[in-house]
Amino acid sequence: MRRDVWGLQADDPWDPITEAYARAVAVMQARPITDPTSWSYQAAIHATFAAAPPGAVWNDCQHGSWYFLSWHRMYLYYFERIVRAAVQSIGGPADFAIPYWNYDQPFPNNTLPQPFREPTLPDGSPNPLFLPPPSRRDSIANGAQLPPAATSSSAAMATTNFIGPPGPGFGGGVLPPTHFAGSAGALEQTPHNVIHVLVGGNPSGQCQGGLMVDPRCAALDPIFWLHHANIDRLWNRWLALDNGSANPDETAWLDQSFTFRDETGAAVTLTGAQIVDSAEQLHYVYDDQPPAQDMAVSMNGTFPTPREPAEPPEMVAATEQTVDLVGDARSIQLTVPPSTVSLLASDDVRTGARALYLNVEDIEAEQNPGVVYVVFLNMASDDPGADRARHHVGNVTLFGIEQMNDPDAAHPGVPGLRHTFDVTRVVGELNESRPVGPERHHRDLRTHHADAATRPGGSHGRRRGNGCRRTRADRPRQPLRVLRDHW
Amino acid sequence: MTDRSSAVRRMGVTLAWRPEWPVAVIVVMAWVALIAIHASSSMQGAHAAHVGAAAPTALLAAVGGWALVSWALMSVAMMVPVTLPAVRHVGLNSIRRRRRRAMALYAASYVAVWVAFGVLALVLVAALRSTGPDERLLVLGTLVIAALWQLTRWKRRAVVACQRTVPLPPTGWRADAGCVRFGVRQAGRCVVSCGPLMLLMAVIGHGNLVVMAALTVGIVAERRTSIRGRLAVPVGGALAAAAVWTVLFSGAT
Ligand SMILES: [Cu+2]
Repeated sequence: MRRDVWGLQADDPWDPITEAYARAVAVMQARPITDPTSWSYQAAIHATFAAAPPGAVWNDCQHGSWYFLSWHRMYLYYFERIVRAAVQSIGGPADFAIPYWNYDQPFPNNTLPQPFREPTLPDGSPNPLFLPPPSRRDSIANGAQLPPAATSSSAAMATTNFIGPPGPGFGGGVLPPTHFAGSAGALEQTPHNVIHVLVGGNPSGQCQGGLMVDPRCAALDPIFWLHHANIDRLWNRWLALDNGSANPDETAWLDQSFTFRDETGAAVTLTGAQIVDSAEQLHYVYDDQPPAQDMAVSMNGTFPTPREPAEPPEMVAATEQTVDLVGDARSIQLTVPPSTVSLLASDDVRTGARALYLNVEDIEAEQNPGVVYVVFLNMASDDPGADRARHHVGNVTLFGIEQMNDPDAAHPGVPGLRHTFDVTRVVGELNESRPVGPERHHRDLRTHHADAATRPGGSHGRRRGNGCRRTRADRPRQPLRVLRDHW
Repeated sequence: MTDRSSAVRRMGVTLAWRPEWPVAVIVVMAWVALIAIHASSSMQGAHAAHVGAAAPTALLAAVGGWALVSWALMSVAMMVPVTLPAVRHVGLNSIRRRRRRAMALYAASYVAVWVAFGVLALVLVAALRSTGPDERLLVLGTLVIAALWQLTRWKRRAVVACQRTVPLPPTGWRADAGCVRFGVRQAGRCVVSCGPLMLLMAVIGHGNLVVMAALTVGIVAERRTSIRGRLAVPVGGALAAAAVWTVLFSGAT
């Protein structure tokens, strides 16, 4: 059973499970990189700067596609077996399982777990879970709280499709690109990518800076595995919802196999179909696994988005130009052509029967600037008292963007990141407070504006967001705001 | 009656997801035209590509007119299938009222780049022919270049870049310009990625429908498969095999 790490340390940061993990990490770190059960070899399976030795499957991590969840579940599963073997070799708990970090909880759970902040173990020996600066963002390393907008999985939980685009999907876009572009799923975007960036801090080549922020270094940070255990847990929770959530039934997803190493160092292979049921097939559960009905009641019927859209989303508004984010406040204006105004004013839109999506597309950057961009709709930049949660559309990160620029990378990524948000609820709530008649639409459309604010960042923080475009019907008057936040 | 109307509706939804279908129809028409031309020209025993190869003054004449028309048909038949997903992207990312116009602008600029490439390629080939090397040598050389090209980094880069999209503004001249820019850019990447293959077509002419079909399938497959299963090397291998075949069996083309 995988347990909540904050639950383990209720009385003492050094629960036997957490301490066993720390000691097993030390054992694995002492092994040479040629050993498949070593710390560095395992991290290299995810991604690394080093060239893979013959026979090794390195740089294999799947991001930005529908394989994200399945690949990381397999990865974590074999890693856990390796750690458990190491734990047992040093006399630790026989039922060891990787704990998870559920940061989407009030203080102190939304801070880095205590054992990752202690330089030493209880016996005074060095603590491998602790990383000296600059391997983690200073504020987080010192116990700063993660904001709810960063840790919340509610947007992901509200999706009803596994696959997206078109529209937001829980698990990501289909590759090979029959839909022209792959895309990260909602859970991968937030909280997964956001936590990577916030915990990681500033990237630096060859893993000399923040580890979590760069896929080639991320798995070297012991918190990585607790983060991914949480993501894996959230996948199970989503499936337990009674909102139509289900895994893909396409054979391309079910039969796709990936290769890892087990605790003996032997190469092992799993397919999607072999890992969909973690309890039955992989023999682990989470300590909070809910009865399916509990969740069903709270979620059922809340989101009217149809599972299979009958017709493709229809573009109703888009930006005129590319947006460069270089550290200054920016306004992003959406143009609503006259021909789509009537669609925006339709009852289907007013009642939420038609979903409204907002895409931030063709995002390009040379490397991840290590910041999170927060997108708001219709929030005036000069209003410090604005209720940010009310206007919050979602978060944009550039996690892993470096490797999308490399045609030789093993990643099946498609250049140009894309984020799709379901803005039905946000737009609906904003409209309730400001009902408008159709005649007024036209005028407002031409004057409505959007704001983007960013804070100064590194020279690499250049983000080219091509289109902040809303597909599907949408109400006008919702300026878009992108804020590069300083969490 | 209900069956029929629901079938019509389903058809409508399918086509709505594939707004590029008119372009696909044009591709089919290009193939039909090429087959028809092939049939009639083989009856007459004449071949446009071999006309006027001797005199340098005849080069442009040989390139002009008929050769260019058949080249344009060949570009549509061979190079447009690979860009149909991009046409769909343009369609679905334009407002409903502008979809047809946007896709037409995209496709026209895309084909225009290929026609421009064709002018250069045909002039080059005609010039080479006028220097009088063995025809087999010409085919062999192009095959070897095309095969080696498959293995280069530029080739891989271009194939990946083909999946990159550009901003498409919603209305007005900016929207039109966006479609044209996207078409030119995609065709540019395609020239980098498939140029040597089309050079081969410039050498052997549009008469060889089997080669045309094989190359089209290879190009589409290479683009559509995931980056994990790169097909560039197998396609290069097939070209190398064709080169060997050309050496062993003279006059085959
Ligand atoms: Cu991750």
